[in-house]
Amino acid sequence: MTESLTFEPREIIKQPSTERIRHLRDQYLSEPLMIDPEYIYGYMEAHRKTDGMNVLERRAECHAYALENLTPVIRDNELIVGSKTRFVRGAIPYCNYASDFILKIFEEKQQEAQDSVTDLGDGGGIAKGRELAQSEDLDIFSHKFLISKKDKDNLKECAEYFKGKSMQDVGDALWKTTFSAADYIEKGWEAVLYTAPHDPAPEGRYVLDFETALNEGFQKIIEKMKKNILKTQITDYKSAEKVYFWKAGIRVLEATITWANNYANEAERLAQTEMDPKRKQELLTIAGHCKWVPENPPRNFIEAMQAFWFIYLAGHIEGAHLGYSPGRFDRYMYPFYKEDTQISEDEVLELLEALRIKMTEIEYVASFSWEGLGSGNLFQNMIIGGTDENGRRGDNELSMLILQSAINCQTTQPTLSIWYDDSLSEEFLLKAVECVKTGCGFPAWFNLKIYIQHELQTSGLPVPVIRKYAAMGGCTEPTMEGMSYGIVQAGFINHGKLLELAMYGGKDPRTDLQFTETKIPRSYEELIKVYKIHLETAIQNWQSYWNIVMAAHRQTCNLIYSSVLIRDCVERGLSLDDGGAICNEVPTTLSSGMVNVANSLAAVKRLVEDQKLFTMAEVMEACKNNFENNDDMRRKALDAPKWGNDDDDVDEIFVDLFDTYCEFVKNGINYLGKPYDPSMLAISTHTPFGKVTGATPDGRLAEIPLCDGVTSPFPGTDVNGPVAAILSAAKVDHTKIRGGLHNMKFHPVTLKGILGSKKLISLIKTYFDYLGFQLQFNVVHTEMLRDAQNNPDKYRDLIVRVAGFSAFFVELSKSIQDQIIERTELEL
Amino acid sequence: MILTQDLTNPLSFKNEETTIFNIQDYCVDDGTGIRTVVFFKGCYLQCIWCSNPESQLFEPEIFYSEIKCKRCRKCEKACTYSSIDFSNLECPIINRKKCSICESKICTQVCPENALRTVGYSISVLDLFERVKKNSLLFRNSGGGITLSGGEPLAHTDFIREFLKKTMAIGFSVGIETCGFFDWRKVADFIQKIDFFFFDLKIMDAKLHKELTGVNNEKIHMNLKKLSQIDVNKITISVPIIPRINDDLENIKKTINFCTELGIKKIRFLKYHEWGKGKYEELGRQYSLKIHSESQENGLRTFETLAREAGLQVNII
Repeated sequence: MTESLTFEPREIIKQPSTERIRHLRDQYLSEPLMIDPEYIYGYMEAHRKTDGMNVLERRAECHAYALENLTPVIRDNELIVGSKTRFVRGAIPYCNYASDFILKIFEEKQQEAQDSVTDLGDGGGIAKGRELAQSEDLDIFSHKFLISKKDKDNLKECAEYFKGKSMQDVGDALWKTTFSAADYIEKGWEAVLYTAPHDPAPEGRYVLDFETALNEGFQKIIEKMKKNILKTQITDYKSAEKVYFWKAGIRVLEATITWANNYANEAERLAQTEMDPKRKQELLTIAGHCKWVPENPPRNFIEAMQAFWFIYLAGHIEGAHLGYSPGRFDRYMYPFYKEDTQISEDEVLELLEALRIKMTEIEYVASFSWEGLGSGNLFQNMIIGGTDENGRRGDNELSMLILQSAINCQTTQPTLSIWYDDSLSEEFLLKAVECVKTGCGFPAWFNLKIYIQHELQTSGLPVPVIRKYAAMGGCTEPTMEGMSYGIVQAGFINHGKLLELAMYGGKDPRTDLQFTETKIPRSYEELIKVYKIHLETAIQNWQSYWNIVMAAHRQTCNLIYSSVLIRDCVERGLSLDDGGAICNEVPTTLSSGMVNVANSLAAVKRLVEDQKLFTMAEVMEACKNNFENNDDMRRKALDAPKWGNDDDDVDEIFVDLFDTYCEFVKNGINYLGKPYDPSMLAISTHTPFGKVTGATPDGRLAEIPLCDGVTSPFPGTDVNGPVAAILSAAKVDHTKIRGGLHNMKFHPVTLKGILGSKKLISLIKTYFDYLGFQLQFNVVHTEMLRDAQNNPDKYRDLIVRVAGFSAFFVELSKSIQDQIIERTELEL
Repeated sequence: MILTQDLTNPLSFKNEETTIFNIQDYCVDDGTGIRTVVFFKGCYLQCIWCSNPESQLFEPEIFYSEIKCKRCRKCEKACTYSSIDFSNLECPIINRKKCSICESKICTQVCPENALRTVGYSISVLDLFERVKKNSLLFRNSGGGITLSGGEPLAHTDFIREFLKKTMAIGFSVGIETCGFFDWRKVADFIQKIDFFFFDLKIMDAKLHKELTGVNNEKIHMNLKKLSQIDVNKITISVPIIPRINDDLENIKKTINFCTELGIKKIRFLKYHEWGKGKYEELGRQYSLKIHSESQENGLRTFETLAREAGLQVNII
């Protein structure tokens, strides 16, 4: 800390509860980010040998073979074992999804048209990696990772092998030759109307059926599938596919058991040479767990933790995931906690803290531009609280310990969320606010009432089922635990760019690319009209394109393991891609930046339509010139009504845009035959989206990031304080969309003590009474953040919320840091 | 003879106007629950440590931010009173005296950077009432309400009287933060309707009080006596602890004694902060208090113990 700065200290600062966890956390913090091709190399070997096999079986065989051959790694002090890669912080380069971007990294070529507008972080483990690369025999890979020379050769071999065979290549070969609007999509990428191709990490946004997997054990599920095979008479293509699916399912579950047994053997091997008798015993106990689960149901809480981790991690290994989440952990794990009379609370807490570190160890490597968008976050979202099927409070002793583990062990993953309901206990709510006060950016708060209404309108599931299984798949997208399809979206649509297309006749001013040609608007009404034309076209094309990619997904990367663990795939004999899940209404169409459009339209309405100070042509000309020599207009534009101030003049425009967006999205049918679901979030899209968008009539200058969040105000424009901001946000019908997010940033003194906590809870309750959907809080001090920017080493574990997720502040890009700092700090 | 009005008679309502400079929602330290604080403009005191210097004058003023200003000089051209002088770009001069008679504040409208802003605006009772009503649900969920602050809210008695007619009709809680320097005759008819008071006792020594706040504390003490005769339970004494000004043991002991003599049961000590410093600069004024930031914790703990021993409930914020 700089001496001249006096910080208001964060009220809650805690340390891991045991020496063991401190050690594991410190080890994690000192490790570089590594690329590990071991899995994909095994996958490739199996793929070579399985040409001609049924696609479901082949996919299963490749994954199973690779999984069985992973090196089991057990680290010092670990109680729960199982690692995605051989490294503490390792990522698998999934060439089977996309190999092109990896080959381009080797050739040191620009991967995507969007790379030039992407900004990545470079502190923390990333800086550490660069240091190491110079001192050891390692190469830097894709900006922030390290890779050994041998692994590099192996990876190159994989990437070359999958050329033409990866999901991306198979998909491209289809849509580029058959889709009538193919050039629109490619132009859309170049103009950054859309986020870059999502093929390298498209999976996620779902939750496995942990309840069944834990309570029955894999052996029972295998037997179920074996019985199904015996019962089925193959009479046609469909019945044959069912048998293939079950065969594939048996193969992957058996391989997962083998993989767990490999850990058992490794633990025994380590125990033989272990000198410390205590650790030796621990290793033998670990071996016992790994032999028993996930094949059989756990016999106590620690086995349940090990079982959960194996079940969860095996799914994480199978696919290139973002937003793959553990769901309602405090509900399905509680029976194991309650029935285990031997284990103490302290021991449970230690295990939960250890789990946090395990989940944070997982890294992913995607294309350069996607890493910029996700800021390296995996969006593993653990949601707790809520209600049971009868609507009674869902929090319990385990929920409290989960919160405590997040307070003690401050890691970025998993993100914690609360399903808010008035029935939640006071203790639980206060503990959750205590966690907020650490400044880690979570838990985020979600209104269960709203999601129930959303799910009733989409899937129509019974209310008790929704209450019990409502979960979060990814940063802010709710999903039904254990019964929903995953891969939910193609990426984001840039509302700022759509506005530009509307203003300039369908031509992107930055790239001169011509999209659908429209009339140059002469009035506010005409501007809205053409904006909606571009909005509809962009949505339709994006949805159609993604449906074709999904066809390629079914052929190449259909998730077999996850299918077996999602209801009712096994019963129906259908994989996820064939519609086996109960809920197939989850795929969403995402967008970000709508606030800037609403603000711009409000400014045009005020200045052109109402006050007649300027013509539409003058406004567009000024925007083209970035308001140069036109301070007067810009000032008036800035003074026009802005979203987030409870001002109907702009709020009604936002609500109209929002409703129109939802309607357009729902007109599209997803690849599982259901209407697409509207959603909005931001992650870090607002930065590259803003960078390519010229000045907008709301007074925002060219290249400035668009608004983050969905309903939170544009930075600096929420002049009426937090209550006005939530009153604006509460005007939209949140039941229409799957997701939504609203950021608020608090200075620690505002939340001091129990009274401060209770007041925050009142604010949350009030917003949710108004039928708002989500709230998340930054509890930081501006100067603290500035200091962190300058002295990243002192803030190695400082966690800050960036639009929907947490990340280590020092690893965020400079421009994201700047925005966190600039976001209007709620007045004291 | 004091003119008493029937506050519950809707026919007697008059839509008064007055000048305020801020309405702040989600306030957590200004009474029970979450409160919306209305900051009235104008105060009879001029405390040298005041953290809201813009609250002192009754008229709207101009904030000028040197950092935001790009020296485009548009304001200079627009000013009808020639009170802005940018001939030295390093250090532009604004003649505040002339500004105080200017009603248009045209300079703030032409500034493209928002470097010039008007602080203080006129509001009617009905508009303020509609504005605070937006917080109804938040008040209901948190047990909060409205706190009138400033400046000195009790310098705006005609306005407050009418405002109370509206809030009482829907049962809103209204509290007041006062420096204690007001005309009792003007508040006598509605003062008992206020739910609670934060009443400042800054310095007990009469001479020093006059020197550092600009007024005698005799009237303040008289008002507190009268108020405590109405209902002592509604009163919390507020003492801003200003290092080396009023943080001596003697002053605190006298303050505590005064409270106990009147039967007052609650006191709060406010930690010193300099967050208002920037506002002095924006008003073209000097923050004359020179304080070495030092920890107040020890002193505050002692005061807390003293007050506790005297039987007072203590809060430090």
